[in-house]
Amino acid sequence: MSALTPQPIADHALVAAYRNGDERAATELVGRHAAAVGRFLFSSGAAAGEVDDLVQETLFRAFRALEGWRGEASFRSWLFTISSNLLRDEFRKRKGRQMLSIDDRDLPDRNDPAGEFAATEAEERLRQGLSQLPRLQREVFLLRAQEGTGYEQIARSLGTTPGAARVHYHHAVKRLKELVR
Amino acid sequence: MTQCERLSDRMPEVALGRAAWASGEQAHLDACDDCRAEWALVRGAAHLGEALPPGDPEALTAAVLGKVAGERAAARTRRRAWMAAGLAAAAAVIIVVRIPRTVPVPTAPAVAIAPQSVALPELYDLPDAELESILGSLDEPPGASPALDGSDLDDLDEHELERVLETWEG
Repeated sequence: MSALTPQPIADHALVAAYRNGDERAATELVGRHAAAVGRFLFSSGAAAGEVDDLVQETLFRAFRALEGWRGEASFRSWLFTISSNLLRDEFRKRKGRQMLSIDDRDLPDRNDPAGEFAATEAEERLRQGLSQLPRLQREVFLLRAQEGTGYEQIARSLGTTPGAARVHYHHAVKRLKELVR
Repeated sequence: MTQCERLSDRMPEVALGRAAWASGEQAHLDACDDCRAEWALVRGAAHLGEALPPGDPEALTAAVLGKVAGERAAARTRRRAWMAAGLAAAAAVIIVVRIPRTVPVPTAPAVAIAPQSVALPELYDLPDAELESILGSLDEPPGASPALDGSDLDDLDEHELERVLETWEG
């Protein structure tokens, strides 16, 4: 049966196809990674109502700079790095004001079954905690927890060593334990 | 590597549903407060934002690529404008540098004196009709000659035309 299952095209092959003018390859890349980027942004402190715009801006920055992607790290972790830079820019634009706030939170709409999304109190505390972590700690923690990315790959993505990535992860866990009680 | 470190390394895989705890790991987790607290964080983060509404990849791609194309077009326009300005500046420099060497600097142009020019004090003594005639001639563009122009030639018959041509050819 496995012989009948088509292997998914690797990201770097899709990037090469897009560079050669195949826009369907771009759609495939967006379909694969947009949701994960959205979750990463949301987990990093972006308001739920701003996630779509931030995902679009992240992908815009990525496709604009696609010639510069050398494929050393995974495409997704590269997108996460761009998202993280974008969040930092947004944070600076707002002169340090946190993007995440209770007012920004999407509250559940009881009349809209599709909009059942409501962050529980524990999730909100976790998001608050994550948004207060130093950038590298947050990125390493989320790459581990949301993607299951190994330290080697994280190190390549963030331009550090696997040992340093591990240290960032443990600092993140320690700090989150204090922040999320 | 301690049991806590081993468990820590396995947490993301289990949280994402790619693996399950072995019985020994589960027993450690039940007994270790530190590991349990970390597990709660990892499990919570693994599923954060899963309920965000999914977007439409095709619409999103169209928006993203449209923005990229728009920016590239704007960059091309800016580049062309800069190139045009650069070329104009270069041409101006070449003209300024080369003209004094190749073209003699013209002397002040001779003041064209109309044939009917009269010294100003004398104008006061002229009758109105003569004064108007002079003013009329001054209104003609410089260099205008009383010679026939193309439209005048059309009105001439063959003999008159030949005479005019003989006059021109000397």
